[in-house]
Amino acid sequence: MTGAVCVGDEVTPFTVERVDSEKMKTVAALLRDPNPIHWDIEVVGRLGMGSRPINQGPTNMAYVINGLQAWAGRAAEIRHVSVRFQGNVFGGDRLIAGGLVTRVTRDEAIDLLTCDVWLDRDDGDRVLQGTVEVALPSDTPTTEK
Amino acid sequence: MRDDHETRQAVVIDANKLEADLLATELPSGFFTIEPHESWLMNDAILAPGNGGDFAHPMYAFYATQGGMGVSLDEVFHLAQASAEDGPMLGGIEFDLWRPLRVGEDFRVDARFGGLRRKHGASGVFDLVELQLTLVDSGGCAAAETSITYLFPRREAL
Repeated sequence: MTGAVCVGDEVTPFTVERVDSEKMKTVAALLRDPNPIHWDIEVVGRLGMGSRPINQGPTNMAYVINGLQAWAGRAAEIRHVSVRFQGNVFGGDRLIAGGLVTRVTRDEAIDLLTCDVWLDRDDGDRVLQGTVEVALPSDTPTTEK
Repeated sequence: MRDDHETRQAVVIDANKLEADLLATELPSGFFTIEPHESWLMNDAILAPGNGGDFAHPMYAFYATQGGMGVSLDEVFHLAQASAEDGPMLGGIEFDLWRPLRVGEDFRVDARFGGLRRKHGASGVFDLVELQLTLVDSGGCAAAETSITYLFPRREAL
């Protein structure tokens, strides 16, 4: 569907069917992240954090941005992001990212959207929430309305 | 024998003094290049669509700043009187992306500590330490400004 974005519009949910523990290793290597909770389940257990590797918080944040970009389209520019991490995502988890448009500021060139965003595990726990500002050329419809 | 780290954790960490020390710490600038192959691998790992484009994923406002700062994460943890073995976590990330970042671009990364807040939660005492980073392009303009909040469990703190 197409059309101008309005306050109250929902961002199309973005689903991660299964968090892949192997990709955590790639991210840890690229970020030079020394925290072993992303790859060493013995450390995870010793810290009392469960028995599966824990996904990097920024990767959880990236899923939310991916969902926003998929909904807003290729011309969208992410301008501002603020998130708080509220829970852990473990290898094997299924996740759903969502969002809601809370403000639209229009001028001749762009629509600046403010969206509440979140990431939920499919057991219902909210692991991340925050806000994102995304700029769209004024005549750009979103992919879902 | 207790090693240095155990000894450090066993004493009470004075949050006010630690914050003052962090705010007074001058961190060296670092550099980051958004390498095309690393951008590709990162996009693949974070399930980003449209790999191979000219622009980097917006999360490079974080990846480039944390990855390019002039000190390592281990050094940041050490300055906060913690280590990777303590299980530090990310409490939050906030960034302003002043313009899209291009794959292949070079940046300077400036960093400084922004503060420390001690919290008492259900899981115990922990410190939230904020790091403020700026991604500066080759023309001297800020391309992104990022605030990262690390959460350090203080199992022995009061």
